[in-house]
Amino acid sequence: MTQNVEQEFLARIKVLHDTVWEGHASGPAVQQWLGNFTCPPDAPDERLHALCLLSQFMYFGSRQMRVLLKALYRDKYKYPIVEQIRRANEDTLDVPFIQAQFQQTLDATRFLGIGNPSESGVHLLYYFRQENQLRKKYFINAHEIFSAEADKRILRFPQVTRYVFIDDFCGSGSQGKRYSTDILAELKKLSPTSIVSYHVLFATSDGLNSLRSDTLFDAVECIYELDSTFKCFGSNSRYFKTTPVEGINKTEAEKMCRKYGAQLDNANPLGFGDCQLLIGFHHNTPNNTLPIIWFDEPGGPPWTPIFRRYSKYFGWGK
Amino acid sequence: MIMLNPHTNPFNITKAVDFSDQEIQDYWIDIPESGGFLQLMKPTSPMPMFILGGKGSGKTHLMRYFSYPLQKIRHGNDVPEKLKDDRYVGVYLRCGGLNSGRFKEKSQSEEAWEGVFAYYMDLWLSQLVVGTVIDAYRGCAELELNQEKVCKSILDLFNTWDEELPTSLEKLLEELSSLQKHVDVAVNNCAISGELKVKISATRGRLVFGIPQILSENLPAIRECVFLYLIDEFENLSESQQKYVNTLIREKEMPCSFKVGGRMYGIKTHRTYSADEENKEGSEFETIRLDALLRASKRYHLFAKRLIVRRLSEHGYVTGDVKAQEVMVKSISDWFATIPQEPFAKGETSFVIEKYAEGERPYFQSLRRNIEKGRELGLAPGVSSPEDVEAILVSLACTDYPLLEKVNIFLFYKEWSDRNNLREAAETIARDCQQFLHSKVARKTRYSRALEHFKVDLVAQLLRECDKPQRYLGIDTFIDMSVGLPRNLLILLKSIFAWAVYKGETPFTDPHTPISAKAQQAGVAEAADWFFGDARMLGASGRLVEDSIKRLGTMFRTVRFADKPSECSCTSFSCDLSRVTDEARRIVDVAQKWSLLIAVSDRRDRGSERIDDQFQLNPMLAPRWDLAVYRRGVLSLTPDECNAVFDEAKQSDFDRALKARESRMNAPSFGTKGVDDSHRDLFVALEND
Repeated sequence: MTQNVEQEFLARIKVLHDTVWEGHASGPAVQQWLGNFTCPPDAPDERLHALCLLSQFMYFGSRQMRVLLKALYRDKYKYPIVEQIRRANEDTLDVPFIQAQFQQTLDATRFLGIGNPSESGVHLLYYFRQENQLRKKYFINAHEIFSAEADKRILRFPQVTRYVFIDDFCGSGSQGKRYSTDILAELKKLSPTSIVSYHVLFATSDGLNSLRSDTLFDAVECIYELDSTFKCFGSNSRYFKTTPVEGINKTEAEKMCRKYGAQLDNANPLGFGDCQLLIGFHHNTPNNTLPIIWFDEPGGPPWTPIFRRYSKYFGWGK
Repeated sequence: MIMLNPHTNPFNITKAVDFSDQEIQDYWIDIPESGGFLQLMKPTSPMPMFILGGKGSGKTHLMRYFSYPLQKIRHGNDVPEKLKDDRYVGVYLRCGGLNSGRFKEKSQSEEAWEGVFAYYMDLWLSQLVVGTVIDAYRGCAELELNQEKVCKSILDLFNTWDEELPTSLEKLLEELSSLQKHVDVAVNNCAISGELKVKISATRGRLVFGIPQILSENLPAIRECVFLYLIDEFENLSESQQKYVNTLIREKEMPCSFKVGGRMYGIKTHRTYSADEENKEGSEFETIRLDALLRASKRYHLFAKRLIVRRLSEHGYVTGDVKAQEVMVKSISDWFATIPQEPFAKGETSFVIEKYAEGERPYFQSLRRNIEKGRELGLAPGVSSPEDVEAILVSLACTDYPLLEKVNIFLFYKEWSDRNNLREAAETIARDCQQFLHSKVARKTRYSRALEHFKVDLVAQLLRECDKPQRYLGIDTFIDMSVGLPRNLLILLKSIFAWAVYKGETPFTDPHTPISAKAQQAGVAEAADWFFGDARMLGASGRLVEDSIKRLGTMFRTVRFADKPSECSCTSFSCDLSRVTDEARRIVDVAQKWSLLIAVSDRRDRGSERIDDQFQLNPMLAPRWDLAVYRRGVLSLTPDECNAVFDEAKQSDFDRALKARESRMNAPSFGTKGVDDSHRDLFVALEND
């Protein structure tokens, strides 16, 4: 019974809307979004497939993002350093000593955002600082790593031994690679012993592997790894793993997403880098998510998104 | 003034236990029978009473309404004098708050626990009585003058008193509380210390009856009052603890009486510690079954509508006085979108015409398949060629009225089931249909009777065949679904309201925009799921009951959506329970106690004149199996069928029993011997081809 299935999806979406989606998918909003799908009479029910996908959309609201930023600092930065300090000092439990040592390391650390100041990686630094009660001096812009001295680039903070690049999302890893080429190469030349890390909240396994093998980062860490099961139409997709739902078919769902995706972004019909994700955040939806979810490019084809992506405005078609 | 907040769901709170005393008063609605709940409860009667009912039948609301804090709210000033008018003082105790599970095991004898629990309960009730009197008499000279004497008399009730001698009731209350705390500490530490160091300093029951007697003797204003112990959530007590309450009931002394509230399954015993005698209904106590009473009341709908309007009023959706509220009570159904009733259900079934503007309608597709199969198997009398099939389909068509087409097909299947010539039958039905359609006088004919009896089921079949959700619409439907359990009604409305808001509607604000059918359908589906989950018992019995109810629902659905349903609006069954297994009987009993099944008056079996037990599936569950809300036809189950549904050991027979029934009601075999099973496989094979 398609109607019952549709109602079940809507019921699930309503619960998510009421609880974790921060009110993003009200009934009218969902109906408007469903209006994008033309539902040709001879094709399987597109609305049903769209609802099926939406009901599995993973959204991280403001509170969750703040908690993740805490975890990023605590689990990927602070605890490993504390562990090192204790190891180097016969597993000491001397708290004042550990605190003093950690403070020294922190003083020799700078946190940076990935991307330009208007992008999400940098935007999140503000909350990262708030949640972890860090002083402003530990944060710098990428251009502040270096300074010029008599026609020569030198390190602005020679006492700094750790640089931690913070990002919200790593899909294909392309941005990290750019940083590696543009900044890390020179940084490593000037200070080969500096530890340069890339800490990201969410990352695909492919993106992480790519950064670990093809960049100069000493450490690449993430909080929430999106393995191949998160690829919507992949062979082991988690979204189509449960008991088959009447009227829902993975192949048809992919066909539909490709059809509309190609109209929205011909180069990336299933999301940038063919990531095929179903994920969104309080501050934005990554372009690695299926475009049918987020597409709202100015000048682009008319489309009502359900979780709007605030694009970087590179310009449509350029 | 309450400001209207569109996000506040007026039906959010569905449990009286979550209400403050003031809210209990504000949300109170009396039953519109003469005398109302007061007459029903008889608070001044010395006869103890059990108030039983399913979850959400309103027991707690009712009992709290008769408790002292509510009496005080109603009376305002000069409470003792007003209590004199009431002639009772309600002392409310919720057994859930006793944490009664503590009073057992931990290497102590059962006798020890019985004694400690009785003492603990006596202390608790004593505090409630003393606290009530202190509050009622605050600032009254009558108490000031007598309290030293009262205290002394109360202390005389104790066998021993090691504490300081209190001279005021406040001090006495503190001492009683301190004694109770000592028991708490001893009980809570028993598992660790291995000892149960409790000194019981009052004989069982002495405080419970003695304190009210002393107060009565010394405080003239309440001399004529009954001290009414309202003991709620009785089901939370163990058998031996219930035995103690039963003993208090049996040994009751004036001026005390008891009202004990509990779920139907909650009474574990009526035995007492008085020589193990059992309390008898009518002799030691009387019983009211709240939901059965509400269900049977002809004015339950009015009560329910007032309940809804009171909620809306408290949340600012209705402004004005009682008159304004009564106006809304009368028009409450207008706030819910329903399908207008038209001749031959034209509007109600317009979705068929819209969806199948072109192409064959699904029920004709199915009929065509059935006749063709029947022809191949030699089971379709009078059909020998494809032309015959076409002619039948043309005869049964009535394009503008899909419901009449369904009636035609239903009658056709009846004829087929009777092995009549199908071509001739189709022609006769077509004539009957045209006569009925153009008849100016409403005459009872076979055709009109079929429509009258099966209309609801045939519309349900149409909805299903056209992939539309079943319609559970309108306030009267929801009230009927609640079957005397007001909480179920509130749960339904809570979900419907939430869905309406989610869909961007503003329920109960603009009389011209009623709550949409879609919001109602979604809300009903959600509430039905909630009910099934909430009613679910824990443990092995819970699973057995749940599985049985699922099987029963499946059976009813099979009947409703059959080609020739044996019963109309089938949501009830009857069976001679004396001939089923003990386990099946037990599960039926448990399901009834948990309100999953509702006992209906016994039924005389058509064939044998035997009186059978009859039960209805709780209509809250109807949406789970697309069943009717209203009770009409009754499925007569054989003992074997009943066992297959309710006895897990016999559940392997269920599929066979269901298939046998299905086969009798469906084309082309209609139960033809030898065709049922062997040809079924063939039909499946043909279907797959």
